[in-house]
Amino acid sequence: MTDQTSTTAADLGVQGVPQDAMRRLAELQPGRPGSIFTSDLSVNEFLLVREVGFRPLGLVLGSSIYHVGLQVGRWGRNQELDVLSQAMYHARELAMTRMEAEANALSADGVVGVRLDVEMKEFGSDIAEFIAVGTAVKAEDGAGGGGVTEWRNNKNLPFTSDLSGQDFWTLIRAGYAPLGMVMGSCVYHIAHQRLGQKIGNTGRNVELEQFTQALYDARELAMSRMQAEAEALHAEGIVGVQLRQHSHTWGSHTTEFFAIGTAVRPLRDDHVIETPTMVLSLDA
Amino acid sequence: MSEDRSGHELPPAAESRIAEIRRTGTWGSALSADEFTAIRSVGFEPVGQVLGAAVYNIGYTGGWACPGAWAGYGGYVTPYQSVTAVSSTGSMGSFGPMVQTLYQARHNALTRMSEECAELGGHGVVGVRLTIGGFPAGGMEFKAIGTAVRAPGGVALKRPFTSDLSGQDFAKLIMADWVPAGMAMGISIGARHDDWLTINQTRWGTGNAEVTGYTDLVNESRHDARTQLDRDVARMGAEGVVVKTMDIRIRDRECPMVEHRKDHIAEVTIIGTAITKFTRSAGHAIRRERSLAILSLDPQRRQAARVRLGADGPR
Repeated sequence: MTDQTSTTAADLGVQGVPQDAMRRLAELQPGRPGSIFTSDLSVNEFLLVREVGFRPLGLVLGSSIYHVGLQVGRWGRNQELDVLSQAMYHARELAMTRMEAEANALSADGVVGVRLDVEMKEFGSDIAEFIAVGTAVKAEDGAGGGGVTEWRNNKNLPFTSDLSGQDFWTLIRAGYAPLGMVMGSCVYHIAHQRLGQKIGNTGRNVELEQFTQALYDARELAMSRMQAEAEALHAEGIVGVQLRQHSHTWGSHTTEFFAIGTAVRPLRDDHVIETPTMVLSLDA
Repeated sequence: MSEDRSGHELPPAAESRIAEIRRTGTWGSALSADEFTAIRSVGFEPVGQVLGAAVYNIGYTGGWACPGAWAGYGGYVTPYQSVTAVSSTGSMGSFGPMVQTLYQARHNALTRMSEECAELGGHGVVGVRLTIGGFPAGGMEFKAIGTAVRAPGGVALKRPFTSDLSGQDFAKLIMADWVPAGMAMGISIGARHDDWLTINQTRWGTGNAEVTGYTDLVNESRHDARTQLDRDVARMGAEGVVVKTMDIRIRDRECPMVEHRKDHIAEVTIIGTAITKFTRSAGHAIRRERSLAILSLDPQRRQAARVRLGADGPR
């Protein structure tokens, strides 16, 4: 982020800005807890989010500690492990829903900068923590260029977005608003090669078709589920999609594909996206 | 000396270093060139590097009893569903004393650092690094280091502000009419007995299930830590807090009251900077332009930026 002010370096000191700041600090009185905002935005994000007309209300968080059940796939077949897929979905849903409920309780219009993480725990076996953390914000009059009456999505819940403060600023300035985070997950069992195949492939440069097929199927399932969630929100599109793949603790033939992004809608039909200023830096 | 310094006198070594700085006027700092420029650009001056430290022996932590075991005939038994006891409730077996010590130790380190700042004539400390570690000769060492800055001609503060923001972030806030009030902390330790419901939900053959006991432990502990953070911010009279770190550590222990059963303990620490808005006096108000979106034409710079700002990189 670049800030441009119309004063030179010396002027802020001459104008007495630091002295005004110190005068404010000297006046601080202990207040009542509860009328304070909390946020885990960085300073850059905090200032940019305020600039597009949103006020941080509070840090919101939802988490769930989940025991993931066992499911063993048929050794020689590519198949989705639906018990595990369900588990990953359910656990993330719990975390996200709780975070949305906290935001709702604050009467927020939305949640920005959401981090959705999963961490396997060392205590117990097959236990993972799913945690969703974000900052609830409220739109002030004139946010998004003015004239926007409703920021919540069609489920009357605050919008959620995993966009950083900088991306949120860019999106709002471009005339779009987030609707909600959408995700698709698929846990897939990749077939083992039969012994004959394995021997036949030794020393040859050849595509492993089953593995390729497994990769395609798993990815397609995850992405189409994400798509379906976006359609349920009546979104125009999805931005900031991340496609992650991890095996967690299930071994090398079981892997989870996880697609997550933010569904968006246009704020007005006649939006025009500003051309950015092009810059070539002359320093090394 | 075993008396607890409430902090009105600095150790002799610190006093002599500060006297030297005052005499020669040459300050040392831990600021980089960029940070130094950023601070100067908003009219503040660096005054010197300041340090506050405290070494504590943690002898008594509380937590001597299990909060969730039920009294039964001839001893304590494991209930079907127990409760999470967080440190702020002061209930039987809570870790209140430990949390109070952690607070007090960090607070002492920060206060001593602020006093060095005040002796140098500074108004506050930026770029504070607050660390905990083992002290080589025993005990836990709490250290706070930062750079003191001064607002020339500004009114003296009873308590200098502290903030873990970098020089650049500090300058950006000042330009937007926000000023850091101090560092705020929320600490909580929660304990929960492993009840039958939890044991059933974590068995090897159990299918997908949320482990309600652990979820409750984690949520209650975090909630308590956030409440403590709010109280800390309110004590300073600030308007809000920008959180930098939120850590959680979970461990288990043998239950002190029921044989062959475990308790789980979660320790949550939240640290951030409390900030408050200030208004410029009449005549100082200037119209600030909006942020400028730039598209850098230098491919190497953009590549480097892409690599640096990874999924969880700095923002």
